[in-house]
Amino acid sequence: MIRFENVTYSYPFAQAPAVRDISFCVSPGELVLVSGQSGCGKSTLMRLANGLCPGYFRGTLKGRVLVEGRETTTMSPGEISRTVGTLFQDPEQQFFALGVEDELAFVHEWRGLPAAVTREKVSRAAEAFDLTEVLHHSIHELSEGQKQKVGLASILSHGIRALVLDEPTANLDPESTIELAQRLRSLKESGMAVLVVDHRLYWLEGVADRVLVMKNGEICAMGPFAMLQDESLRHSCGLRDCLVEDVRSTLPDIVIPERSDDERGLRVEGLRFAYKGDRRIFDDADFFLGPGVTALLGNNGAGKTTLARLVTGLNRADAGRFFMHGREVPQRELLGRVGVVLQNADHQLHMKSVTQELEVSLRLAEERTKRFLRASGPKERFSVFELLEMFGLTALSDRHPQSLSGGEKQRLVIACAFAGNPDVLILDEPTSGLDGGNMMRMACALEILARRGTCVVVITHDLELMRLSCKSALRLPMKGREGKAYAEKTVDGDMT
Amino acid sequence: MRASFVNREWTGKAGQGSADTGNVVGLDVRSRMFVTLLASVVTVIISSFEGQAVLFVASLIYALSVRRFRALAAAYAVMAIMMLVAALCSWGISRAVPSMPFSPESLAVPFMRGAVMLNVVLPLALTCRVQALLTALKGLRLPFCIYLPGAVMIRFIPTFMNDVKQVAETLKIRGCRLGPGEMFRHPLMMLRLLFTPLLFRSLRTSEELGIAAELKGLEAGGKFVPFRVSSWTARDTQLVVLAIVVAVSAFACHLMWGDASSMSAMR
Amino acid sequence: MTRLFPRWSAQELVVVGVFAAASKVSTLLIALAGGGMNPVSLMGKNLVFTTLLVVMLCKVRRPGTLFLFTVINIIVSMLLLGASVTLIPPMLMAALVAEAAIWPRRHASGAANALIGAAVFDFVSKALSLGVSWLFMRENPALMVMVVPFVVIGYFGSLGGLFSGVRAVRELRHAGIIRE
Repeated sequence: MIRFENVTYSYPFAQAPAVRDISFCVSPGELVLVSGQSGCGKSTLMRLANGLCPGYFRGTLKGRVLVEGRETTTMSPGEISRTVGTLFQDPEQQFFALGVEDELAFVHEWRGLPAAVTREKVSRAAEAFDLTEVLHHSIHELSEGQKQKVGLASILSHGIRALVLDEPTANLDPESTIELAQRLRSLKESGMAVLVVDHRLYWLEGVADRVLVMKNGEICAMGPFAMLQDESLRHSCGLRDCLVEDVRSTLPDIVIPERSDDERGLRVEGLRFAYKGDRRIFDDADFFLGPGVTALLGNNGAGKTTLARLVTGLNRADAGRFFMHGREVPQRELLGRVGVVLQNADHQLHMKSVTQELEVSLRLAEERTKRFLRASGPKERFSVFELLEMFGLTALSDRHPQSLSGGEKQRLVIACAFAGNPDVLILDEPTSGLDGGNMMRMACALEILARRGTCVVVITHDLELMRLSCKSALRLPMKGREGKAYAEKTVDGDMT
Repeated sequence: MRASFVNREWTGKAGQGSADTGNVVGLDVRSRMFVTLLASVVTVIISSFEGQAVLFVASLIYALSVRRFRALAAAYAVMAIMMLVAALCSWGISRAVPSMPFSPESLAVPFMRGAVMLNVVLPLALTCRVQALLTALKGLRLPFCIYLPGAVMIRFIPTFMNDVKQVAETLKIRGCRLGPGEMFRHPLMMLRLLFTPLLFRSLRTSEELGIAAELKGLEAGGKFVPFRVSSWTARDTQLVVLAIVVAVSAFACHLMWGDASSMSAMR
Repeated sequence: MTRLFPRWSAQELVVVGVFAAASKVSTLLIALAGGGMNPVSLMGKNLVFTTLLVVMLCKVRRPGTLFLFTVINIIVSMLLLGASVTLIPPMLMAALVAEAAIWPRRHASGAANALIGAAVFDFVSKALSLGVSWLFMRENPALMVMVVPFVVIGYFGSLGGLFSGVRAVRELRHAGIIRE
């Protein structure tokens, strides 16, 4: 179905080839997983399979890439897409319509299908992917898992015979990830050729027929999934674990100690909040975030984001008292003491170089400290050099922040948040899209920050990070005043 | 987390929008655009008070038919303030330059022109929310080279609105002050901080969407068959006919009684 | 036979649409934040618009791009915001004049062509919008005296936008996002 024959490809303006001497094939009814550390050339492999390289990106191709026996260089990416469908990490960025139904119909409309046929295809795709209920919703209202379903349903409704997926699990929760694995298994069984490029490996155990590990643009290992159990291979190629324990149910709940003046951490009492005209998300909730790394757990819509916004002061609580290190703090002053790193790295980079970005963050942190005359809190500051080292950005220090890859940007914005030296730092999905090496690096960085006395809260679906870093969990939804007793009893082991 | 930022913004407006477009007005966007275009041409041509009065009354009824009284009142309040400022300036100039005398009559016609334009554009703006716009755009049956960028523009307006909000929030999180004072003291720096991410995101979005367009096989010359479009009904024809009748009546009033009033205004 | 106006590719049309959205959103938000009559916001929104225009013209180097951008802006603005229909003729005319100005250098590389296009577009559209204002206010010329300073202030913003546009293109080249 998809065949690579001695393929070497270079992007325009690049001095070295992105991939070298690649040969493999993906047959109908087969799922091949491609992994490797960031920048190893696996995305290029995906672009070669769907014809974007060289069709869209230009560049030089040696060797042959064949789709159903035809060379991709003789077809446009549009023609190839009638056989090979591609699903990207963030499907929303590729939607042309604002509504789910319109998006599902979009390509059929452009292919000139009669309206009745398009309607039929849309309703069949919606049924197959359980999207009927959200068919008339805006794409912005969907969860990441639902967005991916819309993307996949749209692609599959064109009658393709091969599927290429680029980091499909980066934004998914573990349940959606398992659902995706099951769907890929059934597609494979129906004769589809599937090529998956991903850092996360565990979810394809028992589904992937072959694994292809890449390093520096070359295939360094190819074999069955069991091959990934070799720790030295994983370590040398920057891979993640192939077997991951789900620690969400075993992580102990946070403990709420009695209030004292010399306590360290953020205490919240009687938190109440509801969006205008909506149900109350927090109703007299009490919790305490102490030093260390805490996981913030909960289903989609449970209020994880809202909680992060409330404790940073970005949203105003309807009621509630906030105590930082034993002293009450007005909510409007929380922003100076609680940092938050959202997933939108693109929005957080403003300067012309990586170093400048860090320098500005350090300067702003100093000004803020002076403004709030903070009496307590971690005193020791990171230097630019330390931060560059800690996040593996030294070699990129002169680069323009917006020219970095997604993973590099993610590390930079987290480094900037470290420079801010907050008392509490909340990180939203800090490791989505990071390879094994960088995920470990992130876990170490969180550990260092926690050891300096910062309360680190992680909102994550990454089970590996959770297992490596998190020592306790704050579970949502909270149960108001009873929630306190519930949490304490759970820690004591009286309740499970 | 990314999605949820948009959700709050979106749900209310989208739902509201589709309801408005469908129930309150229920007219095809082409008929409403025709009314706007016709009104703009006629209001510029007619320079008499009588002619403008006909246009104003008819257009006000049209605007009120949307039943968005609050929005209309707010727009009128803003316009009234602007007119007041303009009248004061005009009076001041007349004191300084005697060759430009001040007279309320000479202000009436320009002000009524503004009001007529407001009356015809508001129904278009108030009844065409973002989610319904794509359907409206399909209804215009535009060529590929206009439809595709138009659809992309509509698709990304809410996204970019949300982006700017997020950029402002991330700046606040980092400790930047974003008050009006800072805006006046360091306008260029503020523009850089707020709009550099938007510029880069525009470029990245266009890159990603360009790839998606390539992979979806979108190209000029393809046959586009919309699976759902708003259709032209008898009510649309009635609106167009009515608009033409009003325009002709206004012009007739202008010809019959307008000369005297326009001359006195010019004086 | 080569076409006089080669067809736009889907990617180029997408760039035009995305930049039209970005310019609409940013100018709208600046106007809302600062109030329509505030000179700083008036300059700011013109500056941002011209900056985005220069960058877009550097990204899509095809005759007719500026005209297409204007048409898209007009249609969507009319539908979405009820933008004044009376500004359509000056905008279209300005776009046509700007296209004519850059036509002789249409195959040239660098940012100069984009700069010329944006400069001509800004100047002609501002001049013609004054003409439209006169049509609306011809019964009371004193009102025009009030309009002129606002248009001039806006034009200063546009001039600033030409400089910031060139700087932005330079920065984008440094970031490797725009390549010749």
